[in-house]
Amino acid sequence: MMSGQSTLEEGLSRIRQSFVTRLSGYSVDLLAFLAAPSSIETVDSALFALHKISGSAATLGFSELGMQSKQAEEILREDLTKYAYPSDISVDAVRVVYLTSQEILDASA
Amino acid sequence: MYILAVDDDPIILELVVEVVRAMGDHTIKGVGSGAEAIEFLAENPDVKVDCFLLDIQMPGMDGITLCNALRTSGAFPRTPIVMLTAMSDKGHIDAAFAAGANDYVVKPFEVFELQTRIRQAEKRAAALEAQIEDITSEEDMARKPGLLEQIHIYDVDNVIDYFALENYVPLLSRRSLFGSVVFGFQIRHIEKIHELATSLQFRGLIADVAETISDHLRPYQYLMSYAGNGTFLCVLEENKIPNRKSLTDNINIAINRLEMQVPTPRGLPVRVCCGDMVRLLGYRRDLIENALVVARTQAEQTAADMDRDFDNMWFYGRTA
Repeated sequence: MMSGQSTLEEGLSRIRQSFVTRLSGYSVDLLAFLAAPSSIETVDSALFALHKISGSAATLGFSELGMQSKQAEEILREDLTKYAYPSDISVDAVRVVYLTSQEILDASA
Repeated sequence: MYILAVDDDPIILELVVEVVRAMGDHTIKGVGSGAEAIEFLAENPDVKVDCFLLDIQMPGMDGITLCNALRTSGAFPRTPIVMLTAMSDKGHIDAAFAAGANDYVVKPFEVFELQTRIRQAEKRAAALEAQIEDITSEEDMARKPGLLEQIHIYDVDNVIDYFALENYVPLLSRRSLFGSVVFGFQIRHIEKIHELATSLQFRGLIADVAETISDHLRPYQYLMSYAGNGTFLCVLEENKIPNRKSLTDNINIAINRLEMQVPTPRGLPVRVCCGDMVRLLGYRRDLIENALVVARTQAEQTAADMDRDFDNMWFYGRTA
């Protein structure tokens, strides 16, 4: 039982590292969105990144990042449905995710 | 148990593989898309998949389409399918269960939660295995399902396994849950019909009645399940509730039109009656299970009352 648990912990730790590596890529997408929030390409990439981050961040111990990205994804989707473009609120929500991602990346560097 | 996990996110695949591996006793294979899953199954016909874990939002074929494809392929009519997805809205949940999913885990998930759901799927797979062994043994080929057996109903819209129904209800959002009701339809004289009918006749009766109820609930947002003992349970959103009496009458008229070849006591036509609607009032699994039991009992009780009063029916002016 103990060894099973420690093997799982080891595995999760390894996946956490993979997640952080991917997070740097997602972070680039979020930054591109922040630079050009009205571009269809950057909106799509940001939505994809937010969706992926919110799917696994909390399970891997990054609860705050997970919560923020879920919220940003929801706000952005709602904006796109309502107005067909991102509002300042969704840009701010994505900025929060980007900044938290940077903190995680800096801490793991 | 052999598990096939399908997710386009490599992190989730790694995670699921690790979580399952830590449980021991299971083999897991991860693929990145619906197309890859289908290709893997076609190229490995000897691999017996006991459980699927499917993401919903994937490029190309989404998880709900894949789930439906697996069910309709004929190869996995009852294999446990657990959706593992970030899509937590009722539309996706309803569509996944209607496509044949048995369970639904919303991302992000706790490791322990996923392990619990996999253990439930394992129990389900084991029960399924036992049933299949029963059916394939020559002696049991003509086996009539037990009266209380929750017979699986194939290819009827929005009809899901009872096990899946129990998993579905706790997933409803607070607004949807508190705005939903559960109620049952009971086939009258079911005990006697079960005694008189052959296996084929009994299975046919259950499938035909399920289809008829499903047809008549089409204007509503619902899922239903066969709970055994001639009882069908329906979960329905309360913002549009049917008139119970006219719904029952219309279903009975439609059943009558089917001219089912089922032996009934005294040659009476097959009839269903509808129990009271029970409001869903809590998220706790025990409260939900209790609501399902109450709805089931109400339907059975209504049928029992009608059967008891049958001889006086003309005096009371009852119709079904």
